[in-house]
Amino acid sequence: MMAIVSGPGTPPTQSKAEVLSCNPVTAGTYLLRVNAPAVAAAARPGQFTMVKCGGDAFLRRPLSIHRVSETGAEISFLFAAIGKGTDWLSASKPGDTLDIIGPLGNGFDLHVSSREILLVAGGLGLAPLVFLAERARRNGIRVNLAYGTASDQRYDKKLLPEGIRLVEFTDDGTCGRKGFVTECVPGFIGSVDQVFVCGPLPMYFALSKQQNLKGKDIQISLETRMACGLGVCYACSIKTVDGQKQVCHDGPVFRLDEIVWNEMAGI
Amino acid sequence: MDTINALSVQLAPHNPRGLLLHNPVIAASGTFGYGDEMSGVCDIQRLGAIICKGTTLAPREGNKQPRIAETPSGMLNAIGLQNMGVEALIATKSKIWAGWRVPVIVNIAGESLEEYAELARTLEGVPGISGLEINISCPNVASGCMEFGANPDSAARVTSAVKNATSLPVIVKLTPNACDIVAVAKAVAGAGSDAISLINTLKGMAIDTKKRKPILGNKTGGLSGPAIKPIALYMVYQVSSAVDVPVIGGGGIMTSQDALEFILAGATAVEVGTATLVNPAAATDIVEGLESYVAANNVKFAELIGAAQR
Repeated sequence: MMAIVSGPGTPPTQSKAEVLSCNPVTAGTYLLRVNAPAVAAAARPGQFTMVKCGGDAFLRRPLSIHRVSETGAEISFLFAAIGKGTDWLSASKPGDTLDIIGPLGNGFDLHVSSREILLVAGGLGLAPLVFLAERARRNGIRVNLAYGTASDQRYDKKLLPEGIRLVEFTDDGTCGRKGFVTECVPGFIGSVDQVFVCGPLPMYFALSKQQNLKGKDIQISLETRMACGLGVCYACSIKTVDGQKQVCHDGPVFRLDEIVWNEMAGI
Repeated sequence: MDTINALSVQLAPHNPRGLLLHNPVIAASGTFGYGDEMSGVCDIQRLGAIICKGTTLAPREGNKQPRIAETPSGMLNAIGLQNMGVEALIATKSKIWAGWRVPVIVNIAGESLEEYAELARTLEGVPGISGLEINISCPNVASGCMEFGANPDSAARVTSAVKNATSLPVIVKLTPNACDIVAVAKAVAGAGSDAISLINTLKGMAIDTKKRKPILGNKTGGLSGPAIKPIALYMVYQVSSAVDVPVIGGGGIMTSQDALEFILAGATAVEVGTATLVNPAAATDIVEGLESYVAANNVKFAELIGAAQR
């Protein structure tokens, strides 16, 4: 199957990226733009970078690539400040320099033959799906985005790529439909060629239990603790039906039916 | 003087095959994979040597998640020796290594004396392998490894078993989780170890206060990173003054200054581990830093080894 964004990618590089801006999106979440031409040129949707954070954070933090600018020099990250690494990162100022390694991982496998796709974003799982939506639209693919959050504190839909169909969910009903975003998948599954999901693990558990999704092309992006991001430390190993795989190197994108889900509960 | 030659070190002076390194900076086992994964992000041929992921007879899946936890100035890991097994290593990696300038040393781990000896026999004569590092120090497996390294007698028995099974230079990697690491070092040197490396990680743990249980799936793990450097440095200082085989020092080395401290404490070479996870070019940066130091101070590298003991 021909693919738009799969296949062996450009090897990652370590580079210095100048911060262009870092602004809050909602309480505790931030949009960080950096100038990183080498990463931007090589990046495919679903890939990530390892970012060195200052302060007391010892290890790098994996951040998925949220967008690549039209000019091709700039990438952005959408992240939550949830600990000492990301807290430090959220205080970045224009002109600061970040040490980043990327692009890393496999990325989504978007087929050139796809006519219509569904993207399912739970919370900050939106981050890599916006990049995918942009690439899909550029290739003339119809894009449905189901976006669910806890409340109406969420990404401004005016910032989403043009020409996509947005279906909104909130846990509390303050925006769009009340309920979980995964509820919409069965309704789309007959009319879309591919489904791409990113969000917290319970979303994947829910989808993995739905019998009518068996055998469908559903790709998910996993997040685990990582140390190296390069496939050498084996911190991020998970079990799949094809044996053990490393989220950083073999993933972070996997087929939904590829993961041994009952082994994932502890992660 | 050519700084490349100026930094060369012989790690197995008593072994007919020898283990000559272009420089004393070694990528430590468990933080550099099999070397080839790192070729895109650093110049691996600039290293003194590469020690591959700990290898067992049969493939191992390792421990359950989570496998790492960040700690102040370091990290805990409990990978549990996930590896492809020695047959797959020979089939897929040794041919790659055989074409490299940088020597590759295989770290071997077993649950019994016979397993260690069998690993050594299996690797004998395989092109692309320049030495063995005996892992009697991994704290994250249920049996073997650190059980052998925690006392002098069993450490010596493993060393003898491997030495009798191979002509390759043998390094024994010691655990700091021993009552008397100097006694263990003397025992393995007496049993014929060509060199000694230390330290492996210190056993430790971290607890998730929300879940009220250990963070690591294995409950305990091995602590590494700058947090352990002063402990490692002192152990290297003690061991290198007690044995007459080369000592390879490691534990929290992040920079060439750190490496120099270990060399001045008595190490002939250094292993760089956790630093690589943070900065893939850490080890090659350290090579350059040592070259600059030797050149700037117009000193022979050999004169630096153990200088702080004198």
